[in-house]
Amino acid sequence: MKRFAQLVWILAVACTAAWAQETAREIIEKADAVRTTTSEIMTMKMDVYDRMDAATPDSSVVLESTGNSDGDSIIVFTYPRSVNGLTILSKDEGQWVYFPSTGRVRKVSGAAKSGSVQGVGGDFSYEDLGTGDWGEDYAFTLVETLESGWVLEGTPEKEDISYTKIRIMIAREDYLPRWIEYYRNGPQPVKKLLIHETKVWDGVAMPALMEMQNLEKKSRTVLTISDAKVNTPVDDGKFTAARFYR
Amino acid sequence: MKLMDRNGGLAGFIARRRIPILIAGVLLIALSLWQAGNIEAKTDIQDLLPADNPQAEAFTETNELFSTSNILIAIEGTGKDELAARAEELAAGMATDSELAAYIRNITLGLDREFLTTRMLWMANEDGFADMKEFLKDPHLVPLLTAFNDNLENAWFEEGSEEAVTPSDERELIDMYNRTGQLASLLTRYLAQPEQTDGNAMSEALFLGDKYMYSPMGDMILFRVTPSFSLTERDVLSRVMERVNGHIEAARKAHPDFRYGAAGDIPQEADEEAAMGFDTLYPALAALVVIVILFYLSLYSLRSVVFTLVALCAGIIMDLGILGATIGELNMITSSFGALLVGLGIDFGIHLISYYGELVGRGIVPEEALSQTLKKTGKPVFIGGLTTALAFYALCFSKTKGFVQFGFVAGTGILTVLLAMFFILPALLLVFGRSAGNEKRWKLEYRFLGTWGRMLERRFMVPVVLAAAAVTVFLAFQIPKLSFDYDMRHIGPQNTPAKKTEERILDKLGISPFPSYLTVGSIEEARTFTDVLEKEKLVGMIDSISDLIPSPDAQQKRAADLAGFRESLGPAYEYVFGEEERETLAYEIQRLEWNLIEIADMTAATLGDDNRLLAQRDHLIREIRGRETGREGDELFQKAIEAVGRATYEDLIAVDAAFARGFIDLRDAMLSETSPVGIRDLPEDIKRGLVSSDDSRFLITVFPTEDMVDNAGIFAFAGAMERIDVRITGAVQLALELAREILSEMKAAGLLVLGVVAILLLVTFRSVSATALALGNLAVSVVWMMGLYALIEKMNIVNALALPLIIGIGVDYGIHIIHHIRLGHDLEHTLSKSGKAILLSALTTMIGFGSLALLGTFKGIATLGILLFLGASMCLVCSLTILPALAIKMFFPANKRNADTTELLGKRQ
Repeated sequence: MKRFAQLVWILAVACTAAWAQETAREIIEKADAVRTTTSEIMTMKMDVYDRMDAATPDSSVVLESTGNSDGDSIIVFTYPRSVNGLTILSKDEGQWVYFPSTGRVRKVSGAAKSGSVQGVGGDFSYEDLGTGDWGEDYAFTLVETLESGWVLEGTPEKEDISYTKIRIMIAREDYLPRWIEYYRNGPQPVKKLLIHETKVWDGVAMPALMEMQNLEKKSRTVLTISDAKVNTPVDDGKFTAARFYR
Repeated sequence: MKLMDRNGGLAGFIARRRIPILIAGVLLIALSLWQAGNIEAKTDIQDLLPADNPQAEAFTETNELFSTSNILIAIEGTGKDELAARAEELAAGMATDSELAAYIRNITLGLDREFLTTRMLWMANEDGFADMKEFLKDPHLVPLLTAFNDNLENAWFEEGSEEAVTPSDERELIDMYNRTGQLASLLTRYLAQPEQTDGNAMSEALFLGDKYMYSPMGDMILFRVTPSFSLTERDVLSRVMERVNGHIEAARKAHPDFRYGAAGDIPQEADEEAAMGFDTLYPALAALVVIVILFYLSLYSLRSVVFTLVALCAGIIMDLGILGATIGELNMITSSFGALLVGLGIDFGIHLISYYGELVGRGIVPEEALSQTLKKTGKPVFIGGLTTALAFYALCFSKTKGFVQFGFVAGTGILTVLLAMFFILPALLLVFGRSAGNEKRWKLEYRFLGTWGRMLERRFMVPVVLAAAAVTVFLAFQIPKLSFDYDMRHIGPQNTPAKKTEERILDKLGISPFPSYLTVGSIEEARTFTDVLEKEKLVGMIDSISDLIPSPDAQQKRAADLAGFRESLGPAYEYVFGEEERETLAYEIQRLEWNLIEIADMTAATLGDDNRLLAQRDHLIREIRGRETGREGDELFQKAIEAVGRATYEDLIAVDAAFARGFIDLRDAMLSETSPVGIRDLPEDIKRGLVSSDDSRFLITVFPTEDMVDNAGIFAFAGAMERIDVRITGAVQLALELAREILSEMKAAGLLVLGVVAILLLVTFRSVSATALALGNLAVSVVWMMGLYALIEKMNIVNALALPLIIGIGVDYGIHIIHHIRLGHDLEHTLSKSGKAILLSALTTMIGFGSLALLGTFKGIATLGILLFLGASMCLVCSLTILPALAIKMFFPANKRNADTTELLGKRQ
């Protein structure tokens, strides 16, 4: 009898775990599906605050970002004046930077992936701004079910991911994240992304006001998307470094 | 009090002993002047804090152990060579001045080149050493520039691209831009005149940088004069600065195209001391002049006005004498006491001579007039004076040293002036004023006060009270908008020569002139803290022993690395400079320019369009904004490329060979030192600022970035330093400490003064309602004062003193009005009789504080003057409007007043 009870208990736990895992996968797949677009063209402002409590930004940049369905992206800076036209192309195989001041293109090493976007992205790294699927990059478990959504915990499934763990809160309402905590070899998150505002552009809901808090450096960066075009045709030929020279 | 109550007991005494009183007065003044010679001016913040305050203790320890004082000479103009020549001339002039020689330890024109050369490779960190090894491998221009560019691109576009630019990076980059710019400039020059090629100058330009201390743009040169005396030697300080300023003035006349200035703590202290001397004397003198004019137009005889002023000066001098014999110092708060006593002390004389003059004018003999004057006005004047003195003395219970000293100086000053007004003034009037009648000339009669009293009582009582209530509510809502300024730069004298020079240095170098200090017990401890401090974004620059002396392990490893590197160099080889080398050299210079342009682009994104590196790039190259090209720059690299293109092969080979020889000489010198670097190797002037005389304590000096421009920046920097170590001290921490202490003490001192005043009022009036009315009048006045001040200025650590002060000062006016009304007089009578004395008293107080506001060079003192001017004027307005309106209603309702007045008049008759 005792043995039978143990078996029932093990089966029950296993079934519950399997159900929860599937649920986590379902949630993240839906969240990835919501985020997946064939293209995105966005105009955004990035305000970098060197101190968490600062009221005015220490630096600001305005840029236009274009992304395609392959996860490639081109970022063109328009402000400040000195970087007007500076362009960053990000593809799976690496990043290229075009300097309009000299007309040169530089290939950026992969080591910089976890760093700030060419030093100008404040607390957002290439990785944070990447458009890859979470479901492919991380293995998620459901850690908490809330009235407003779910908290999922993901561990990386790829070697080039610099975080050791992320926790995402996905809203039930639109399957968009409301916050993400990033961990790197420690019990406390090193960064926290807060999504303060979402908007619908071309029928697709997207974060419109995001704040990345760097909990180690005690700094924060606010990203405001002022305009976006979603799922409009984008010339894939744009996403080549050779194009910079034209 | 009995003396005065006995109808002329005091008057009789004075009448009998008038001459001895005057002789005693003269002796006291002489004694006081002698003692006043002991007074020192102290302008440092730590002088205001309790001696056991940890921040003040740490600051004092730093000053005792290390030589941090200096005179920084700044010369602005065009051309680095010309600036260097001006600096050499001026420094030579100072060095050969026999009067200065005894007070100057040394003059530092630039970094110690020998130390820098022989120890550079020992002091470099691992990355820096690896880079240097690459650069030092080949002595020829092409391989060197190739290695340099490879290194730049690797550091900035590969490894370093992930990090934002820090202030330390910015400074290092500016230095690197300067060094490469100099190399390009020298290459251009020598290719035009190959016979003049100085290979050492070229390689030193690239590896060691400038010989002198220039601003990044090269338009300012700095050199440091280290004194052999301390800041506390005030007489020496002034003498030295006079001589230094004399040399500067002579240089300015000889070279009018150059701008000269002196900054640093020595010139700043000298300016502050001069400003304090000015603030102690001139506002008080100006106030005296205006008060004499006012008195001449208002009082019965010019002679009595002069006697009052003589008595006032005697009282102030006696206060100075007591100050010299006791505390022996003036600080930035107590320096305002002169103007304060002029404004307050004269009031006692006004009440006495107003009444005395009226009686003498009616033909009453002086002795009798004096007796009646002391009987009628002596008591309120004495009570008023005592109230004010006790209010000031209450500040002695404060924990803040500045408050305690001020309370003592001002309280004693009120008593000495009171003493002079009760003894010296009457004696003067009896001895020299016998023939002084009521002069027949035009005088201000102040009849409007009686008319206003009548109108107030008959028509405007309700409108005045309602209007006052509305104003009070409006101004009360302004008070929360009052902000506190924690920036010490806004407290001291503004627009002084040292301050202006300091601002120009700040503008050109981007480092705050208020460093913080941390004293530690070992080089390793210094290293640990330096590593932490270097990561702090608000830290602009650090001076630390650990940057000069690496750890023993690191030095051991470096010794082996250096030995290996020496061996790896091998013999010189024959270098061939052909067509390909010409093209490669031009390309590498172009590549260098591109790298410098792009690195500056990157900093623009993180530090903004107005960062110093971008300005430096625009200066050396040209203004570049994305695809746009703006103003022209020096085009140092394009000129070098053109020079390379134009030069003959012979010239290129000659210049390259000369460079290689200089390079090898420098490299040999760099590799010459085989023993690890220690404290004994440090140049003396560097050592004095970093190591205590017994080599047991080490100083880390932390310069904040220029971001420390507002309260948020100050709090952020001080907070960051406190998180790193609570022992970190400096002007910023001391100012915050003092501000915190003053803010908490201000409330406590205010309550204490209020308590003392309330008790004295209760004793004087023997009435709770009269006391409440006087205090209520004061409260409304304070609300008006603070509300109005909120609209024009910020509070600071000096003018925070105004709150307890105004309680002691402002209560007097109400006392006189309430006292008069309670005697049964109507408002016409009250304001025509008491109003004149109150108006004159208030005007003199306002003139005293107004003189500080207008003429005070210490901004803290000037703002104290503004606040107290507002306070005195608001107390006056309230005492002439709402107070009489409420007092007459409260103590004598119309029906009762008539009956009581009739009764009183009947009694008088």
